[in-house]
Amino acid sequence: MIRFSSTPLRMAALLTTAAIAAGALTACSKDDASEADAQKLTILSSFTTGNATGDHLNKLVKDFTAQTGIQVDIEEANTNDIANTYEASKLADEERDLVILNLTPDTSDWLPQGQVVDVKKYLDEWGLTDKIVPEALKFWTQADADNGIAGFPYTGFNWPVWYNMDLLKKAGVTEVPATVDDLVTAATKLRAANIPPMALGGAEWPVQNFITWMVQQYVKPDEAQTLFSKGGFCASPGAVQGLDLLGKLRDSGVFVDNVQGYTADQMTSAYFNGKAAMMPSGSWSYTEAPPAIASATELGGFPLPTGGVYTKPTAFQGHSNGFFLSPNGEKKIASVEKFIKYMYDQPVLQGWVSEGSQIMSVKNDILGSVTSTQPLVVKGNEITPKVDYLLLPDSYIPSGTDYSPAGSEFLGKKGQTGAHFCKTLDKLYQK
Amino acid sequence: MTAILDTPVVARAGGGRKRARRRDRGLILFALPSLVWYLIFTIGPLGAMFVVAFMDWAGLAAPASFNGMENVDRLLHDDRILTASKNTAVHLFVSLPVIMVGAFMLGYFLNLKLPGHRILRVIMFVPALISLSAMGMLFVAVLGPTGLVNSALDQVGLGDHATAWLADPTWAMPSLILVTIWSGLGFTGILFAARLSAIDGEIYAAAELDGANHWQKMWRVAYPICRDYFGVLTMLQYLWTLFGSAGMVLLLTRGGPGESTSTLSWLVYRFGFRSPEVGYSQTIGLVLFVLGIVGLVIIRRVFRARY
Amino acid sequence: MAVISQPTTVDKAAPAPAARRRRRKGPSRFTPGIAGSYVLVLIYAVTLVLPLYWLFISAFKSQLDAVDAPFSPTFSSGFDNIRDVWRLLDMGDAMLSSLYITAASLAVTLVAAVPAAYALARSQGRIATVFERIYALGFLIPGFAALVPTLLLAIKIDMFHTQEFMILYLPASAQPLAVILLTQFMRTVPQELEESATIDGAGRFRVLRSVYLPLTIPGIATITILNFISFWNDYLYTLVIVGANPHLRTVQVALPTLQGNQGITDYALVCAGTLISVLPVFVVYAVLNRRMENALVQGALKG
Repeated sequence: MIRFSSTPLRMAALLTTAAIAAGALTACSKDDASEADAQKLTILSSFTTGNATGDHLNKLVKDFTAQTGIQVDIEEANTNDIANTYEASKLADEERDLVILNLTPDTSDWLPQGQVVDVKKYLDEWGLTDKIVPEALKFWTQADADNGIAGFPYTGFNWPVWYNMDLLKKAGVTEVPATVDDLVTAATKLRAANIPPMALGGAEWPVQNFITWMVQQYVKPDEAQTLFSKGGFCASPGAVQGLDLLGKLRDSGVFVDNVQGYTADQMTSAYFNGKAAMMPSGSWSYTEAPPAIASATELGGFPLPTGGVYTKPTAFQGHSNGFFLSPNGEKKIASVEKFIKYMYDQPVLQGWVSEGSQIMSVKNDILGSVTSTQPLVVKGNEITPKVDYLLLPDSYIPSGTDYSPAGSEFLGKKGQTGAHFCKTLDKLYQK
Repeated sequence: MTAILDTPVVARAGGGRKRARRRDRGLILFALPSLVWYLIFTIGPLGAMFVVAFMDWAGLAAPASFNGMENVDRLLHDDRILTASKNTAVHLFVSLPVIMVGAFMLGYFLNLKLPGHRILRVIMFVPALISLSAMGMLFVAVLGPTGLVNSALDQVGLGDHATAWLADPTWAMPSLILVTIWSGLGFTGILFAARLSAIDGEIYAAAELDGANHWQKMWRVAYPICRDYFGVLTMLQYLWTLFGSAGMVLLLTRGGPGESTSTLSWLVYRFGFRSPEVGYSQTIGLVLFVLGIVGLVIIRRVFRARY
Repeated sequence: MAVISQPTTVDKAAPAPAARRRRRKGPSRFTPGIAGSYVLVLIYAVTLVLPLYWLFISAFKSQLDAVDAPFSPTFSSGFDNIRDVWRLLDMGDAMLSSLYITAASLAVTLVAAVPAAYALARSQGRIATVFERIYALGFLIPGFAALVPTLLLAIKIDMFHTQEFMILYLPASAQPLAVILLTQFMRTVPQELEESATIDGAGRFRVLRSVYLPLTIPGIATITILNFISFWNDYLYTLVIVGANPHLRTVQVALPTLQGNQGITDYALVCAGTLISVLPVFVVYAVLNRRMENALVQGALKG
């Protein structure tokens, strides 16, 4: 007779028993934990570990616990998944007390649907309304939720154009281009010196933003708002002009070769490695720039086209990051109050600037005088008088409408006109 | 529903029907745990898909309401669905035959146990080992504008042919197909090798005596024996590609440039997780469901086992 | 179709002198056809090694090097990335969570699927067909489409934010593939073996254990490794149902938190983390690899 061992089955039985036992044990220990958490706050955070923001937040939280004895647990999720994570846990009524996130089309449904709490009265009660910049409060006030405020506005950003003066000078360009014609000339000189001109993340969200950047050269904010919310690019002569401008930049060689394939990361590292002389990018990258690049960089707006509606080079700024308060969090409002007030304390605010290199959404006199050690952060704070700020499209473009694939295609099609591209964009708004 | 395999009709000498039925009753017990378990977690989602497909539902916590045939109507008039269907068809009809035929030959090759075959087996499994996100990162680096492929072209003097492969309307879909084949070939090859190893060497020896070479041994001897299995793996690869392309598309091209790599699976993801239209996303899921069944029927026909 | 030119030189396989290893009787094994095939397979193998190579060297580089010169082996940041990622993400906890969920789910999967495959393989009646049709249904749902109903189920049975729910869910979702593949393997077992065992008085369970199991080791090994990978790499469901809590989350849920929020991602760090997460999978595969070849059939028939 043949004899074979039955090890596999024995192993399986062993593992199963172990699994069940372990499961039972963990279940027990979890029950004990839940009783002691009346004095505990949980935060779902998009400030992730390994980034300046995440690391700084971890430090602050430890400090807060030391001062007040309130335990704070931070759970991190990356920006792509964090909204889903919150909504899933809300379904189970196990959502975290606070969420650190941006107010974007993905999250602008939360207040109207009651997934987060209107914090207007808390802002007033805790004396925070006067500390926060009015534009930020306006941004966070949602008309479709009875003008409730979706969260506590906290950090902001600016989004200028980065110019590597070392590379520009190498090609014989002595100043930051002031007009689009200057830009085209500069690009030609750069290419002659074998330096790729302007990097752009043509395959991802940077191209979406850049499209709105160009369109707004010829479209005023009111019209732009309707345009971004509802579409209708072909019907707007200004919009078509803006798209034509983008086409002109493409055809004049202002962008690096194969720009339509660049991801946002590839754009940034091209610039950081000196493989591009210019890039439109935001303050979130200031701290990551290598020191040599940071000191060589001048920040400014995008050059002016002829016949545009603005008089100064254009850039973006926003106040979209803040704390959402969940219904679970509202049950622990005493602890939440301590935490929020702590975060708006002057030393803490200043720490975000000097160590976290953030731009805060609070008024300058509240912030006091503080500077970051990062040269680019300092330069970024100085651009305001030099630029005109455009309308930030993020809160108007409907969730799920993505210009990027269409933008990537447009950037790859030499000669295609704005009149043609506007049709593609309008199609994105079809139901 | 379709059966994916024919039950092999094994002639039992002197068995008798009664004994067969009695055996079967005992056998059911063996299969029950698996079946019940599986049903609990499948019927729900399947049923839900059929229900939600006819609803207007924005997001996980948004209010939902029925809207009859509106979603279906929308689907039938939606150009994007048409484009996605074409892309899905191209994706499948190119990658599936290449993978299945290539993998079978690869499995046969590995089974020859030539020197180095152990290492090759390990290497062949690599695409299956690394997670989807790691593969995405890799191919973005390989096929990016300043990636490996373009650098290589530069070095051999073909720099003019360098393009942004994943953002080029002509090359985006071929790139996707290539990645699909790359990741499916080795893995399926290993699966074939495992099955082929159970074929008695004496059968091959007999064919050799008749003067058969490897090609003939592969297709005239091994294939008929494994025809059933070949069908199963084809079905698996078909379904995996049909339903699973969204992952790769998300990581590599997000449907672009334009709509050149937008597949039906991608649209299900897009409407389910990117724009808040879960109802419509499930409607497209229904289309995939139907296509899945149609494909299964066809595959079964093609691989009908002959005894 | 895009053609990838290989910058690395391809090793032309030197045909081994046929006389050296005679494992089988027969003429020279390296016909031109075989040699040519070997070359093709090697080319493919090189393209497969590429991602591992890239992953490996990226983990030991500085962030900028990783994106700028992806394929040159600089060693700019040594073991820093590995150390940092272990500390930053609490990798120890995450690995244990992954291991727990994966191992337990695997055990449950096998315990359910092996008997089921046996039943389907040996069934004489229509049961096999009916059951197979039911299992086929499972393949027809796009994975992420089932997320919401599964989430609702987890909430309903009060197992949201537990790892144990995954141990219930993953085996269930793995049944179709496991059972269908294993059935194929079980069908290759010759009837005579079962008959001789039955004649010797063995009950059905004993037959399964002593006759079928050993002969279908390749199938079981295949299913084990396939499911180990799929459970270990599971992301979306684990993220939504188990959650992001550092004490509960798995490695796959922890890794994406390295992605910079809107800024630049430190790919070197991500590769270091991915390398760590891929290691157990590789180990399991190395161990099970041998088992996927069947060396027992001939022995059994003669014995």
